[in-house]
Amino acid sequence: MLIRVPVGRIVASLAAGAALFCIGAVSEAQTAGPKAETTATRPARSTPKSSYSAASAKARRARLARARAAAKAREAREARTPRFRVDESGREVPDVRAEAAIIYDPETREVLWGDHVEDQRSMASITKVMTALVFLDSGADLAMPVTVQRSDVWRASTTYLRSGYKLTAGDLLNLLLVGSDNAAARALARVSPYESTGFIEQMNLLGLVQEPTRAVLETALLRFRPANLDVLPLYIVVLASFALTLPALRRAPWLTLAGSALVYFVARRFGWNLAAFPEGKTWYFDPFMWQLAFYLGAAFAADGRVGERLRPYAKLLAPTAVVTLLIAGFIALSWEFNALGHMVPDWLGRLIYPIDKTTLDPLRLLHFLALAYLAQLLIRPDATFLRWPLASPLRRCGEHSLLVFCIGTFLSFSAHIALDAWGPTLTAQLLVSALGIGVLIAVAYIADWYKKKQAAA
Amino acid sequence: MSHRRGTALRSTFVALALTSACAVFPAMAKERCGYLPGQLRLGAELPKARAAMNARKALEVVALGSSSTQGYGATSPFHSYPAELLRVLQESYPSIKVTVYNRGIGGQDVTQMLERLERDVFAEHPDLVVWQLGTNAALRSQNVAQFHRLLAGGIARMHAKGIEIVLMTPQYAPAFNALENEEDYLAAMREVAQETNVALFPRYEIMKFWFENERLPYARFINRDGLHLNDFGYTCIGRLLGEAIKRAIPR
Repeated sequence: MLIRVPVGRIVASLAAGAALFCIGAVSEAQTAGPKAETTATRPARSTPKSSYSAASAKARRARLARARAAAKAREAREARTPRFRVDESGREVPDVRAEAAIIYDPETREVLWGDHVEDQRSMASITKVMTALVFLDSGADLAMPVTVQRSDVWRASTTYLRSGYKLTAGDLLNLLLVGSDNAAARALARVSPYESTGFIEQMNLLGLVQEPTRAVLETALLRFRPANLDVLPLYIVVLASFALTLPALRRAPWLTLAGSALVYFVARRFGWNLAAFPEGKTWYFDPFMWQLAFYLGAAFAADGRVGERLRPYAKLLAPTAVVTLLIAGFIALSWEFNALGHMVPDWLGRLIYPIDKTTLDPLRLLHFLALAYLAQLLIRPDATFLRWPLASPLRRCGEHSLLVFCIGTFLSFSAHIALDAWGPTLTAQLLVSALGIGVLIAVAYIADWYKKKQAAA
Repeated sequence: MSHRRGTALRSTFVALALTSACAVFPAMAKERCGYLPGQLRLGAELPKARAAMNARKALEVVALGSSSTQGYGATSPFHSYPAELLRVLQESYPSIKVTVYNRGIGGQDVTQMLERLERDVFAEHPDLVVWQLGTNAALRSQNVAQFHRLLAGGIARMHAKGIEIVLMTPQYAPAFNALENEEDYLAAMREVAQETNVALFPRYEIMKFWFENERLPYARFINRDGLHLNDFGYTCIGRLLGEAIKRAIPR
């Protein structure tokens, strides 16, 4: 069973969310100023006295409460008095006490007035809109009884809840949206079908759809790695390492490759991996091991004559590669057909399994090398069929491989969402695949056209 | 290279490409999670789980284990077996607050899991622990007598805290089945379960039933590393475990 992601519903709620965001931004901006002052004018905590007396403690608390109430009333009075100032162009504009403000017409999408609009700020309570969206989308029952836990209310600055309160998820949702209750947000995440950690991941997914540019940045910082995009951080880390190793790669590619292989074997021996979010998790593609695949390619490219160098050994290498692929094909088919599954002898199974992906099992590397060797043997760069019009999309994609790879990564994620929404039927899979390949080819052609235009100019 | 050999190589290549293309389209999804009637009888009742549900309107479960608890190989954490277990139990007991803590760490077995009992299990004060183990012990050929002893010791420590346990046996997967003495670890787990009167969820037998009787190919429920489960495998195991636990909780 898959979790269905109702795409239509998400889009609709996103539109609603965007509108809410604007309203929220205005109201947040209006209230931010007084709030900041509250913390500033709050009386300093009196120094502890040497002896404790219940009566004096009570009196002190009452005094503090009175002072707080008076300060609050003063701020409220001040906030209600409208103030104006004249801006640089001589117009009279509201003198907003908040640090930033925006007035936005959601219908015409026009920004009517703004002050420090471009400043980056934390999202603060706007995240509650997303919390509500994700919770509603999870299909959780609003009548579900919830008991507030100590962890929900612990250090939650704004809350009407106390540990042990019993109420429904619907009540919590109201508290979240109307009262901006922090503890309610935590409790909802906790009781959602995803639990707290999973809930954050769901919000991250929503974030990708809602704020693509921000998500790209977070992905670049290697923090945000939703399903199917695990390969991106690996790519970034290895490419970054090329900045340091490129001089060595150009001068002594095979020595550099030997260094890379050493890292691979040592890392496999000691099980090195990088930590990932959430806590306790590690990278799905272990960079210490997968770097070898990249450095193999880099060394081959730097040498430039690997094909020629291997030519004298073709009599030995070509049959070896074919046998390797035949065995690999047989093993792969043994997972699909039980009759073949029974035919794999135990000694072979012990030898090859598990064919681990995280640690780049040597068999995966061997399989790739055999395939690559045969491909370069069979397909010469001047082969006639490469000039057929039918092969042209393939060539274009190869010429812009980095771009095609990057777009492909995001497409695979979109495909994941689409298949989750429609169900993994054969038609849907074929349709999604055909569409994805079509987009990739189109991207390659556009990149080619763009490049030619630039060259001409 | 002669022209003729080139043609031979080329046809081999095309044949290989075609066979791998066939492998890309596995049998289409079948939602049924099969089992033999007896396989959902855990062999011991869970009266303390019932007591917790009656007294506190809550049921707290810790899923302790290795990668197949963590959900390695699933497309997302929501497809791990503890996530599915939570869904099944919460749907079955709408008036009870069910919590399932996922405490699976890939690559571990009984030795490392015992080291984190205090932090990962006792700290949550669970009513029930589902303890999945044995696969990594077998893959690393841990001494079977030692495995037996450590497992019994872990159960005794959890019993001392008043926690009920469901043991989960290894998965039926090519990497596990190819071992020389995988049956010894399964037998050790059955023995310990009987000696200590602990519930045992026969994951191995259920998955073997899928393979041998329902004739599902490995690719249907096992990942392409030959060891871990895929979304379908995890979901079915979570669902059947939930069903088995429900049957073991007295009315």
